[in-house]
Amino acid sequence: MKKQLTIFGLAAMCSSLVSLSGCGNSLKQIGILQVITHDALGADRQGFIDQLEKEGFKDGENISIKLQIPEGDSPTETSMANSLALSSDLVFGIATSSSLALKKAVSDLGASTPVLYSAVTDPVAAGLITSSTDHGNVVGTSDAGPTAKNIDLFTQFSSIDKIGILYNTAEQNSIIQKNEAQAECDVKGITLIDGGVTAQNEIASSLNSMIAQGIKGLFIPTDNTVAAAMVSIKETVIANKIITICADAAATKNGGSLGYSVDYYTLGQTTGKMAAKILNGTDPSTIECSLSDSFPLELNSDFFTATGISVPAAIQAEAEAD
Amino acid sequence: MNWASVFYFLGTDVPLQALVWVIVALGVFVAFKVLGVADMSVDALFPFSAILSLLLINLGVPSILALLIAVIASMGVGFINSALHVYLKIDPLLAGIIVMIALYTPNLLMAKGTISLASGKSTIFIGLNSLFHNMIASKIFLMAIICLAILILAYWFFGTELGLSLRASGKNSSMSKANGINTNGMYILGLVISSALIGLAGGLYGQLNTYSTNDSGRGSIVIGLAIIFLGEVIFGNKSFKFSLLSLLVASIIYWLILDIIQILPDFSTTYLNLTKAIFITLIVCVYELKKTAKKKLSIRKALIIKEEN
Repeated sequence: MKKQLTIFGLAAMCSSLVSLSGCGNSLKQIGILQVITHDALGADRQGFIDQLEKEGFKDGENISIKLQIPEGDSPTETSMANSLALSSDLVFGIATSSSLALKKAVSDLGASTPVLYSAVTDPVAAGLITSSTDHGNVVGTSDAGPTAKNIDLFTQFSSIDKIGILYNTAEQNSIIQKNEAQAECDVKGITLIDGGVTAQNEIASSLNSMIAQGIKGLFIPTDNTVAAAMVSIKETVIANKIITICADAAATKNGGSLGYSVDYYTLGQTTGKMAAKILNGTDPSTIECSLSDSFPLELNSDFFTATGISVPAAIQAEAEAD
Repeated sequence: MNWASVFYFLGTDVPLQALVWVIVALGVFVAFKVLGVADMSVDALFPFSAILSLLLINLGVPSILALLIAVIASMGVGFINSALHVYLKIDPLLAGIIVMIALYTPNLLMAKGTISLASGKSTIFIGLNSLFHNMIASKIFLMAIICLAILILAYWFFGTELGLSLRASGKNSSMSKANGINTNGMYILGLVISSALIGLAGGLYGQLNTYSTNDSGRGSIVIGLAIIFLGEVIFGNKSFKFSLLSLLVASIIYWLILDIIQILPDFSTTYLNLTKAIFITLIVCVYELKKTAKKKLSIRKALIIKEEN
């Protein structure tokens, strides 16, 4: 019985491997590792794929794209990074941990496969690159949000002297933005209340406690945890007439008031341009890593209609232009 | 993926993952099988040790010493975990959960989200690489030696008088008490050993990857338990020596199956977690069915003997 089982197991394994070998061909292999299913990260990936297509690299025709999503599971992410690094001519990591995993997998192989990254707020602090020009085979775009511009938006509404910030204390990206917001608030003379949370179920109580402390405005950085819970805080901010500025367009749409945001689709396109250059033979080390440079202003008119707060004319004009 | 890279991937990723997770499985084994408690602190203790060992290296501590300090700190956490039960009478399951929640803060303070090895710093694996000039080979070589040493050490320890008392107090606490074994002391010792093993695996994992996030340990306890059950399904519950060995083989099989699933050509990762869940359900299911079948078989045998008489 035991022997039969072993033989069966081996046979099953062999047959699965046979089906694997079927996909070995001459197409350029592109491996994408995206840490978790998420609107913004998905938009980033789509921008990347669309841009490649625009530059003449179409999945299934002259390139073959393999997407892996470990859904936030670290050991699985490591395995996926190892398999992608082995089988790809170019790898693309979306978000910090996926990019780090790919970089590590490629360097362990002793290979020089180009590693592209995107949606990483501070690639230098994360240890991905040394500087935007000194980075070897690792190159990409970072999604640092326009924090100062967003804090400045608060000053366009009258009588906002105290604001809160809602973010996940475990997201490195958010911590960086919180520090930027603090610095900008100090300059503008605004008091910043720290509403850091560790899980989605703490968001409501953190928000209520900040409201009790008398905040007039709320700043939400590009934070994955809070972004996913925007719909749930919508009612509260409308009822308390709190101007909510989000650094993520989707968050603004789902429950915020307004905000300059990082456009992840554009970010993905910029990364796609770099990938196309590399596929055409450019050495990745000669490409400069870039920051997000287009920050469209998103306005959620639902919020202003519901609260009766009027939108300053300058902001209205700018939002319409975007 | 072509044949060569499929085999290369399975040949390198499987042993590497298996060697890390067999240590985790052994840690979970000590808590779950020897003591009979599901220690939930594993999911936070694993990244705790990974982050701590990287932080110490970044601060200038030699890599091997950093690993050692991380293990000792993990033992401290294990002591707190057991003390919550022994002295404060908190249910073991809850004590583990409390420690898991509490560890989130030190992890956050140390890693600030993500911690990476600072440039110019070295891990134990990078140190060894000057010998091999092949990073993956150095990693597998060193991990294999560490694992072997740990398994031999565990086999020796659980055969000593102290180790036997520990096993006895987990199997039958009141009987052990009656025989003069300090069961509270054994509970503390067991969890400290378990935490040391998890801490060792975490510290090694951090140095293998050269980065760690607060979330790095998500699902660790599930992997550990799956390996334990898989081992028992394949090898049966024979002797203690055998169950230690079966952990190693089960860990290899676990990662072999997971890695094959990942590289299947048309497998969408959307289904990955469900597939894992079904896989684990199957393992535990077969384990339980086997147990029942064995019982039925022995009853039938007994009946036959009775009829013959």
